[in-house]
Amino acid sequence: MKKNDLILIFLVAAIAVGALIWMQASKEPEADRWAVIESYGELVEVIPITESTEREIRIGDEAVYNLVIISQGEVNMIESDCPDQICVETKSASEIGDMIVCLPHQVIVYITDQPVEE
Amino acid sequence: MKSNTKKLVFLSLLVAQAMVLSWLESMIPFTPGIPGAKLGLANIVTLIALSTLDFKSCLTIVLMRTTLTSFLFGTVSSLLYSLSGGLLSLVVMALILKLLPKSFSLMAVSIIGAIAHNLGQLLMAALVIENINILYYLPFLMLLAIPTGLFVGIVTRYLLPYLKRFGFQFQ
Repeated sequence: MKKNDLILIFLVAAIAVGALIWMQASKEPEADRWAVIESYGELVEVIPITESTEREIRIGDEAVYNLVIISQGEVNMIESDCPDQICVETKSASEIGDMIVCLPHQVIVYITDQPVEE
Repeated sequence: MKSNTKKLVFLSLLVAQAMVLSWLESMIPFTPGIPGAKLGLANIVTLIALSTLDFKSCLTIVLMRTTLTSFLFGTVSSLLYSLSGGLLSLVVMALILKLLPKSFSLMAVSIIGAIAHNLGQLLMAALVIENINILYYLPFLMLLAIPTGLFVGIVTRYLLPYLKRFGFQFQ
């Protein structure tokens, strides 16, 4: 292990942690929130999120699907028949900038404070 | 002629080993819920190739292993992601070894390669789902790249002397 290696590791860690802190700091907790669901780059639905929003949204058809639940101010991908199941294992999204991605089905769910035109 | 045959066999072996490592990796349950997070064992082979072969052979190995692995264990879309990640990390690691030789050890090169792989995949994913915000995962992946890259680099460092002792050095 050379000195340059340690500098590099430190730099990588610093940039990553810095970016995470910056992403955390740029969130506005008080702002209105919307959950945006996109499939294959097309907008599927925009749902305003409040503490009382209770919704269950199914994306896809009989063969290929993702099931999204919005409850208690949180958005969660609870079911999918995709091969890797990464989207189901992703923790629920509640703050602005959070996102859940299902790459095999090209479904993306994210939280935004910008009203999106439907 | 003899050394050409030896090189061809070595190249084929590396492709085969990369495929086995990819398969082995898919058996290990390591899913922290971040798209693209993995151990990157196949990068051991790319690093070995970069230290023993010319760039054209390394490119051949990366192209063959990504294509064959995707056809055997993946899907058409996984081919896109592994190609973009594999090629970007190969080019970045080759550039470091070429332009800054001796300034970094294999461990550091491996970490940079891992990050380049993540970046390549995320950029491809951003193109596919038409949303650049997926780069949001990059800081998490960068942090993960430190331990996984270190591991891959250490394995490669201990493996190389054995290969060189048996004459597998074509540079």
